[in-house]
Amino acid sequence: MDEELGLFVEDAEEQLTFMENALITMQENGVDDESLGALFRAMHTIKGTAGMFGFDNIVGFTHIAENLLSDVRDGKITLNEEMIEIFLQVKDHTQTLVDLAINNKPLEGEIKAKNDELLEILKSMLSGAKKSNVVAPTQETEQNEAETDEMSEGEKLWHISIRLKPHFFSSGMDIINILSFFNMLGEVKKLLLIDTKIPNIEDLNPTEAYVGYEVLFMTDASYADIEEIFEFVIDDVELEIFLADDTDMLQALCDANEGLRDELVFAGFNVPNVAGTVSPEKSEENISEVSQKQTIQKTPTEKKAVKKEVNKSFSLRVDSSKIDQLINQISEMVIANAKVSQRADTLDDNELSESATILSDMLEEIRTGIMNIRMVQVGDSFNKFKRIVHDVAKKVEKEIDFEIVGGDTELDKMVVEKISDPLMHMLRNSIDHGIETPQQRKELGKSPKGHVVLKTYPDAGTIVIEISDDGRGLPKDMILQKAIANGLVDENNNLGDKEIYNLIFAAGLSTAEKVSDISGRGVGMDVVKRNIESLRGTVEIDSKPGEGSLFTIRLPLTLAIIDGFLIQSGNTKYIIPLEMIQECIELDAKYKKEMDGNEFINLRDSMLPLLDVRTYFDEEATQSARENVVVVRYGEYKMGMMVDELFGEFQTVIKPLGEVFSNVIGISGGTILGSGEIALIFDIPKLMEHKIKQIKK
Amino acid sequence: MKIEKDELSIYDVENLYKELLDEFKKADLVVDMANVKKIDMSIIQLFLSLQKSSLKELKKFELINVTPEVKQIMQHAACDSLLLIGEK
Repeated sequence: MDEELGLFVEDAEEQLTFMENALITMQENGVDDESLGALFRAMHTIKGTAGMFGFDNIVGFTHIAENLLSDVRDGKITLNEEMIEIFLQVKDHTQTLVDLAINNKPLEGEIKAKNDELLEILKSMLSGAKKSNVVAPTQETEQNEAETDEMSEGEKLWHISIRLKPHFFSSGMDIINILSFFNMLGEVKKLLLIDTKIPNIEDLNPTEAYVGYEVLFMTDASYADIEEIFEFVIDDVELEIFLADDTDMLQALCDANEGLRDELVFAGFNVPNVAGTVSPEKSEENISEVSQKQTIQKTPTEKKAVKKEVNKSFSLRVDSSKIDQLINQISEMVIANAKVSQRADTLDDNELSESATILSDMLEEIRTGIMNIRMVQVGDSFNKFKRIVHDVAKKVEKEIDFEIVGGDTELDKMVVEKISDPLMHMLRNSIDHGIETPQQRKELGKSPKGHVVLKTYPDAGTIVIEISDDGRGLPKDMILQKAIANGLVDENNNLGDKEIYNLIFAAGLSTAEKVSDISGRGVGMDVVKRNIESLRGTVEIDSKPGEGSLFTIRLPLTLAIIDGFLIQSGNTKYIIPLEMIQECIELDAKYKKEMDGNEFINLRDSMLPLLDVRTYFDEEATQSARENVVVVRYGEYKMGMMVDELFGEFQTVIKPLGEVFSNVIGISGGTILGSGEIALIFDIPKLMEHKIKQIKK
Repeated sequence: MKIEKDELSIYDVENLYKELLDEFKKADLVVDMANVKKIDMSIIQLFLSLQKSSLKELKKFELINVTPEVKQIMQHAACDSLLLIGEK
């Protein structure tokens, strides 16, 4: 796919997501101006960009939708429940049209029928005045709309000078389509084709561009809005945009283009005879306040443009591989600096040591900055679940009150994307199997509306995502029976409730009494667990019959570099993720006496289970002066890790371990120390799981 | 010379250039555009170059049977007055 087409698709998808979120918000909270604006902008922007690519089907369809939204915005029509449903379909259909267009497929068959059906519905909703004006956008209709809009805010006359660079045609864009976009923002007063550079036919390179345009353009749009018309070809044109009465700019333009002054005069442009004088035509144009230069004073519309620029920086698109590359380079620098630091210690060189520390601090700041680029608020992505919940609930005829809590929690974008499918699956399950029908709920004395919550919050270096519902809970007995029938567990098992619930993550185990097209096919929950584990995360279930279920997913905050705590046990150095550490204590004689051969200590009146790292990993005995316990916490569990040496904080670059280590439970990766030694990174959740099993035995 | 395709774009311009140049070298050039519904700027630029050369070499270059669709494109490109468009 061409780069420009790729940008168009990304842009369209982003706009459609905004549109969907706005619709769902209005469905829940009623119509508000901000959501309505987002809805209108989505249709308007997609129409505009599709027009630039000549995607007529998209332009024709979105034009009608935009017309209707314009009526809504003007208060001529009220956006009701039924219209929101229709616009949800409009959103889906626009997505389909975008897919068709980029795959170069014709609009036919079922999609054509849907297209016509939606157009009919939209047209029937239009206010009287616009019903007669529902054909695909023509220059005239667009101009009329633009004029009506402009009068309210004050218009300006702009001069736009465009020269196609020789390679312009390789951009895949047609300047004629781009020019037509002007009509959507305002009125083209004059359009002059500059063809002076076109050579004679023998000297012509037909794939090279030689032409340009001079445009006199009346609009209330800002400089940024006009510049945006050229968004997709900004590197393929030479562009000058200035207010038409900016004589200095016009003079400079004429000076730089031989013969241009005469051409402009001939075409009726206002060209100063000498710098500083403008022909009287200016007054005829009824231009309001065009004397100030756009770079100095900012009118309200331009202030709006500045605000828009801020939003632009929010949606700046960078290939994620570039960020990954930066993270890799920073990782290598962290390792290299650790070597410098180590060397400074060996040489007992204070100055070098100090420099290494400063460098280390700076690297940490850069690391945090780069990591932050990858971080996104989960709410932006999770909002799409509202639509899914809405659709599924409708399909299974249930009423759902869906709540997203902690949408501003930040998580690595890649993690957010990968967790999306598992979450969607779990939400569908909750609605399809967990929540009872409104009738059943009434009989049980519950509210007819089921409550499903998607909650996200940070906790001890991890991000927790919870999906809870107030439905019927998991059928514990049925799960156990199925698991026994499938040979997953023995009949004489001694499983606790949580262990039984967790059996639903086993492959092929579905307890759904009937298979629907939403869930219950016995595939999915095992895939859900595998996906979560591939992100170094864990998933747990809790459930109470008649009260509901709670799925808890824990994910690491980042995947590349963590703040670690370096320790030694036997002859091996290990890293414990710093944020999981609660405290370090010395395992002194008093504690050892209390232990009396058991692996527990009494820590401030609570029993703390201990894991002897040396024994667990079969390390050789050392003659360490003191033994230490590092108290770690993961979720609701706490554990003490008995280790020999504590070295302190260490910026840890996570390096994957080879296949050979894949079966070593309790190690999630490795890292390289300044000395060149390898330190192994503990997988705390797995070590805790081991300890819990050991205690139960 | 009659154009057979209904759409001419940057992907066709090189071949069209060769064909038109050959014809133009031989004699006056009249291009029948009856089949053409869509053109882009690379094609317009080719026509403008032919127009320029025809004035210089005192030859005729004319587009005939131009469809309303193409006329509209030429209007949008502000080149309709620059090309010789026959009514035939």
